[in-house]
Amino acid sequence: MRPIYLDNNAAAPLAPEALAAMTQAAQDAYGNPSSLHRMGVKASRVLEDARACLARHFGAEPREVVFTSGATESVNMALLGAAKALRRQGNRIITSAVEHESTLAVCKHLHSEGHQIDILETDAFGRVCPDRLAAAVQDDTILAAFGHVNGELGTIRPIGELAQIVKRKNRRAVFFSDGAQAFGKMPVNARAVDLYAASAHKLHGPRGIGALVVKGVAVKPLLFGGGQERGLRPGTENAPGAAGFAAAVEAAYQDMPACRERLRKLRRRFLDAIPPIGDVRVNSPDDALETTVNAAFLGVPAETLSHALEERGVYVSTGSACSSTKRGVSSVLAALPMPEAARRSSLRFSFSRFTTDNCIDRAAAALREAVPKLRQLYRLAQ
Amino acid sequence: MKMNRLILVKDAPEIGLKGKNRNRFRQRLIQNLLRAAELPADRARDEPGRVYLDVSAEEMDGVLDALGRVFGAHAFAPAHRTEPDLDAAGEACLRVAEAAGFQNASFGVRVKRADRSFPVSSNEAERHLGALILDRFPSWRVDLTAPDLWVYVEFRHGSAYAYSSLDERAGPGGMPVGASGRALALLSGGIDSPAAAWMAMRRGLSVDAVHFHSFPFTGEKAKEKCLNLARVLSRWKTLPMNVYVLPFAETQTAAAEKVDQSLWTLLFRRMMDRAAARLMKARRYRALITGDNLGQVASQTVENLAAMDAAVDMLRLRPLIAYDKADTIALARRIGTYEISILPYEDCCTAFTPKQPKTKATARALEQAEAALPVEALTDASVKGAQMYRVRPDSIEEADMPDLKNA
Repeated sequence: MRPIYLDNNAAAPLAPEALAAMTQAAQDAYGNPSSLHRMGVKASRVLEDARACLARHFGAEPREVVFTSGATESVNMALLGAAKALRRQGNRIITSAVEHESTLAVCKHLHSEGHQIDILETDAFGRVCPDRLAAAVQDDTILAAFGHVNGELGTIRPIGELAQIVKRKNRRAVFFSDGAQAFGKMPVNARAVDLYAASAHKLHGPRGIGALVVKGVAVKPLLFGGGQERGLRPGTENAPGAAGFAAAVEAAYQDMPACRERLRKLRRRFLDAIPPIGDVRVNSPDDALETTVNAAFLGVPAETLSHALEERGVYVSTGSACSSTKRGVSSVLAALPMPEAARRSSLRFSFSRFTTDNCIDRAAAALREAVPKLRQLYRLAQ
Repeated sequence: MKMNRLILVKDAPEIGLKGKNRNRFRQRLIQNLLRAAELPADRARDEPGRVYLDVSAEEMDGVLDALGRVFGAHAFAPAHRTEPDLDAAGEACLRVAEAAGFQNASFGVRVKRADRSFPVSSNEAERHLGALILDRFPSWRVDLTAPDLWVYVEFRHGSAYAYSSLDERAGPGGMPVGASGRALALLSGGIDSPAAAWMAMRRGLSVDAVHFHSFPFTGEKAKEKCLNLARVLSRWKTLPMNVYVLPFAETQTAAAEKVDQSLWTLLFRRMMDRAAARLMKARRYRALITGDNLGQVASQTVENLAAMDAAVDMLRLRPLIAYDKADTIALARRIGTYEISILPYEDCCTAFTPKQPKTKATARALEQAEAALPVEALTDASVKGAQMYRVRPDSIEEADMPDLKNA
């Protein structure tokens, strides 16, 4: 039985185009891109081609794209690097409680170093109220960090508008957006922000490579070495990884409108299939990105349900966080205003362009089978 | 002059006290030392109370590290081997002293004459060798009570050995694994059970493990965690550890439907014991090792232990029974299992934790509760669903489950 893989927001399988590009680059462009001989030039060509491709889809200049090891590194580079560069200007950073853990963890670290972190409340879908944001921006606010698409719920944020709101209040404040769950899944315009992070493996690219778009703002390096990537990311460049990243991006944006339309129908199909199970609460907003459905199956612990689905060949996620006190409840759901019972029984189903109607039908069938069984059992255990 | 590097291993003194069995213990120790050090058999030399391992300079650090995990080794040290005469021994002593790297130091020389035919008395030899060292390091002084450095010299038949107190390391002590037979440990994924398995191994038991896996109430991660604990334990065992993973959700589901929840924990343990007993019988394990500890959780009262044990007649060993939690944690840290144990994946019982467990259950009450369950059929199903993994420090391979016909 082929696995029904609905955990694409965690990691997406490698696209054949990416594998082919990586293999070829690894075989042919093995030189060090900084070497002066022909083999070095060949590798640097691969790297720069990839950079140009990414830049086109980011809406950025190639020189604004810095390769990193992934979104977490990009987030660290953006927030720590900008905070360092803007130290004289102030120490206030504004974000929300439903950001990805990497953003929250960096903010926590910055707080320990004396920065003031203002955490905005959101609505139940993770949306930021524009007026509240405007009110929160101060003269000494140096950074605003708001993710583009929420990985747990699929909520899309209007980052261009949010950036404008921040800039109107304080034109020197830098706006950062983590686009790990957006880039390659919807059109992205990084021109609207100052810093934008992305990751390859969320869009069917390889692991271990990501990017940070740096648009004309000062970012201090966190690593020191041979000066590669404008000195922001020293170390021999990962040319095969970059080639794979670019090929995956190219494949993702090819035919995107039609692909998104199909995914929208697919998501609808899933949303229509689960209510008959009863006591289902959909946590994602209607207008979420079509790749994500977060829903609670009340009365069943999320982790057990996920294993029961696994038993039926369906792979989903209970959330991105895992701490011993709040087992299986993601930090995002924990921060959202929603009933505790829903939080504990919420699963995330995340689709990709490789997901088919058949996957959706089988996932729904597995849910229809597993949920009532487990509900009965847990009623007994009460 | 011929001088070789080697490692001198001292047996646990207990082994020396054995009578007729001593040789069996020592052979087992030598085998385990060689296996841990990944050395061929011809590198070990067996002398009363000592095992000498020939190692090259490149092998030295790796072997020293591995020997720290061989039960039955009391202490060990890198040493020099020379001809069994005073001149050669003097040369070796100077090397030992030099290697200490002291500008000013107090030192003493201790000579042991295993070869009684050696023409010089221990006392004379000590004075002679001490004088030699003082000659070379005039700023040093002799201190025979608590010196910075002891230089140890042993004269044996055919060779002399010299080593430094600074290089001597304590071994883990105990008995060589395998010398006491085979046992099965209940491995849950918590802090206690790996520590209990380790203590059993330290007393010479060759321990394999059984893990009860409660899919879908716990996930693959919980099983993997347990296998990762076995990885660490297999380093101490010096042999692959077999881990039997038995499905347990069916038993738990059946109990949840039929039995009052205050009895769940104890009932589960009785069911685990039954399944483990089958494995033990078929695979010739002589004892079941558990991490039970008196009073740690509500289920671990003397009454409850007695009620649990009444289900199956077998030898249970509970090495941690009188430990404080802090002692167990310290031990788990030393073993290297603590960091794995505190990972958050639940063990099989967390999904079915009673709100108010019985603290003084009786075997009778449990038997009555079990009357509502198909105890035999559930045990059969658990044993039939067993998977076996052969776990080494650097690999986990699923192996064919051995035939359990006589289970």
